[in-house]
Amino acid sequence: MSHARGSLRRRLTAICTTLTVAALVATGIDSWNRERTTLEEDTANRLQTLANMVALNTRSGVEFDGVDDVLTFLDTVMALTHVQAIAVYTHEGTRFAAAGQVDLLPAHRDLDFFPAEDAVARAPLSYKDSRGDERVGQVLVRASGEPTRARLAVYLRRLLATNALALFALGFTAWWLVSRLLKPIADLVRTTNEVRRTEDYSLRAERTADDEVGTLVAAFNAMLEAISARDAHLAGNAERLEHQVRERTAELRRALDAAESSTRAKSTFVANMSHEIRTPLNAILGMAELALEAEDPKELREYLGVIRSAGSNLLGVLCDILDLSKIESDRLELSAVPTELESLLLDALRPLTARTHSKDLEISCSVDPALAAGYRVDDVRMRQVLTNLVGNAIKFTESGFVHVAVRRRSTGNGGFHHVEFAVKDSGVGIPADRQRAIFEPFTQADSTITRRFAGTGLGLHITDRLVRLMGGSIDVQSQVGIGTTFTVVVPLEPCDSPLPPAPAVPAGTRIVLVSRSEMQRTSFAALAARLPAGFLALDSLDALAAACPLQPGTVVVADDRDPDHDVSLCTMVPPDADGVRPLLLATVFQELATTAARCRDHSYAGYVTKPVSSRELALRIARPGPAAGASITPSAAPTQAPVHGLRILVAEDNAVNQKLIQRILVRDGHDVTIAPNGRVCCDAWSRSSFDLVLMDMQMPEMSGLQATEEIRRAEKGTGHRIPIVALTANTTVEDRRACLDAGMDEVLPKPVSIPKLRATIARYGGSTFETMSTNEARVR
Amino acid sequence: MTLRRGAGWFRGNPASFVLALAIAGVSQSSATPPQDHEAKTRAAILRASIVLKIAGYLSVDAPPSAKPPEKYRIAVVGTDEVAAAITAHLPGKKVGATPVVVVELRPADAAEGKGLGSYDLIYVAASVDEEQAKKIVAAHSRAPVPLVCERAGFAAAGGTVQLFVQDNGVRFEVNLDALKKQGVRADPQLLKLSKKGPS
Repeated sequence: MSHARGSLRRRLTAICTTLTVAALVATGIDSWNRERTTLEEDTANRLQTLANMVALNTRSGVEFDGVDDVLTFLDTVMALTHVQAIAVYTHEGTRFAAAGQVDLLPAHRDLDFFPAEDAVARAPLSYKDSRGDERVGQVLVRASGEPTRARLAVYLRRLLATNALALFALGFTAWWLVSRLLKPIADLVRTTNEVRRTEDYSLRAERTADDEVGTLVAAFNAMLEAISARDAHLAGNAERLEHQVRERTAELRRALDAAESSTRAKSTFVANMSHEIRTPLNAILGMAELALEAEDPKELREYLGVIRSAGSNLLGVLCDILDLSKIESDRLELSAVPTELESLLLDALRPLTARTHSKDLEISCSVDPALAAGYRVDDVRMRQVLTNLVGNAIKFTESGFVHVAVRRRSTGNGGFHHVEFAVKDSGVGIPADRQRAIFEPFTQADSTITRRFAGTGLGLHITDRLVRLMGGSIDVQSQVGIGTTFTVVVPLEPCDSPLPPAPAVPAGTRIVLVSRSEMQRTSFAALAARLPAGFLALDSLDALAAACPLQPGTVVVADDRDPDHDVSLCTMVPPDADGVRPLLLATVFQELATTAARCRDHSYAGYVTKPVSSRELALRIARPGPAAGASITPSAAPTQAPVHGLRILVAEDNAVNQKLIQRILVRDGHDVTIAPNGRVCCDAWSRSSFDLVLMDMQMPEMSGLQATEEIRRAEKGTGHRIPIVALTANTTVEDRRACLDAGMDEVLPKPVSIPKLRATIARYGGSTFETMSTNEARVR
Repeated sequence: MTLRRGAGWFRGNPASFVLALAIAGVSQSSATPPQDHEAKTRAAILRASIVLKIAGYLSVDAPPSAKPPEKYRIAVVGTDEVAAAITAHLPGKKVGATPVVVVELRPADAAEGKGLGSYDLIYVAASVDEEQAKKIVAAHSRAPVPLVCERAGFAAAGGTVQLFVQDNGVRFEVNLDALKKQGVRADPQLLKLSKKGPS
């Protein structure tokens, strides 16, 4: 494809000029031809007319042989015209008379031959000859073509001059019109070149008309707009990409640093794990060897105690590692169930109070009255979070307090409450530069901590991941030497309480707390507000003495571990009409037996276990009395009365575990039947009558789940339902759910805790179940 | 108006003299050789044709309702070679588109004006004496009949056209006054060729 060369203006001008020249030449040629034809025809006509006139006027002369007369006439004609010659010929062709340049005429009319440029006219001459007969001669007139050519030449010069002038005028007009018409295009081309040269797409061509060129200019400007927008977009994209690259590079660098740090931490962790595992293993193995050699029962008991403690530590390490493994592989799923947060909190705190017996440490909690009665939450994982945080607080606090406050911070979307769990301690604190690192796995604030406080460094990382799985966040505020506060905020869906409503406190009830712990006094103030009840906090017995005598309806809560103060208490709190003193002792989990004895000895109304729940306090105030001294919470297992003489079917394939569980149960006075797999278990159950089944999950031939399902199917329609408790090393939430779905009533993880096992047996084996639904069993 | 270029017919004009001799010789033809006779005959025929040509340049006004003449009647008065040539050669010729008819008319009848209006042109031969010629002219002076004669002084005597020889050629004189009186019109080209004849 060839491209036209030269500027458009030059080409258009050339085309217009060429067309103009062609038109002028054509019209000029046509005009000249017309002029020439006209002149020639005029000359011929005039010449013919002259010949005719001569013929008419010379007839008589020829007839009467008047040559002189004819000559005279011809001379006259010659004088009056510009012809070259005139001749009259007879009918015989001879020249009768001639005038002018006679030599230009032939002597005989048949001999005429004239050059083409000359004009010749002939006219017939009728006359009578000498005998009177009619004859026809001829008149011949010859004129030169020069005048005609001269006139044509003049005409041609004028024509050329006129056409030249017209050509100049038309050419100039064409150039002017083309220039005017193409000026917008020329401006557009200039703008285009300017844009191409400067690459400045903000330039715009000026639109000066609304014709096609104006439309073209508008389209060109629109194209520049689009290019500018696209460039801006591309520039923005490039900038964003650069920003992203910088961010990604920084992230990669951070990830690399983290990976390197993680690698280092893992190496350290592996070393720590090795140490943590080897240490209890060393204790277990060493103490086991010593126990095997020991003969003194007291010495043997001491060795076994160490072995038990070391085993518990080892179990904790393994649990942490398993949890971390599930979290890292995203296999950890949460299961939200209706839960009362106060009960959940106390379930987490009370077992931990055992760790404080060697410390001057007070554990307390406060629950916001604005909290809903219940919330849908994964109680197991939430309890794990609180256990980790409170356990850490206890671990790193030698004296002072550990306080847990639960409150509703705000209401979020969908009716969710943002519930805050704040665990505050007065421990060693965490340096500011290590406060974020403690949430990283395998990390502790100080490597020396591992030596000093032990631990795997996984607890806070697991806690952080669990909180995030719940959709919440965790934060830490700490000052070295002052204390630390971990704050967990999770969105929870409010619901009804899964527990029966707490009894109402009699109107006019007034609680007087005597406690040296300010934290306790504060916590109790909140409890009294929730009941509701009047409240008076006193920090000593002297203050109580000053407040005496007590008003009717007053219930004294004494946080006093010293039995020597009972005399004073009995003096200040006289018994009522039933002989019961309206006094409750606040005690800890480990001193329940002692406290119960004090209550019986001094007719106290009862005791409450610290940390105290509002439900328990209300129960104690509403139904005071020593008989009600047992805790109402499921975790109050140590107070459960032991059960003996049950027929227990144990499905367990491992011989060692068979021996272990058999020894425990037989020692407690139960009748034990061992089944090595699910099939044998089902057969035994069908043949004999049992009070309880302890079922392992994984067994050859038939698993515990299959055996449970088979037993439940067989029970349908019988009206009986045997309690089945899983005793399994599969401790995940999924495993627990699978067990419950299969029809089991409770799940106890291995290694089994003997007290917990006894409590469970007491709970499920103490009475015969009469068609109890699975849900009811779960609630229990 | 009369074009008179000479008072006498033969005065000072050798040609007229020769013509007279020739005419005279016609009457003595038996004594002339054959070559001369043939020349005389051609000359007579030439004169007769001149009479015919002259007739073609003369016309008489006719009323619009008049029918075009079927014949052009030429009356020959007297006898001579020209009259004989007219009688012999002109019949059948045409004046314009009208065929010529030649009749002979006695001089006395012509002098008396007999047959006036029956002829379109009268040729008076040289044999007619002068007195009779005058009477003939007088008889037709008001009649639209042109009179042609070769006698010298004929035009001066009131005749219409007088033939004569000049420079070896036959010439004629037209008497415009006679034409006017007779009511005959002559073509200007004829008048242009008119010359003064001998008296």
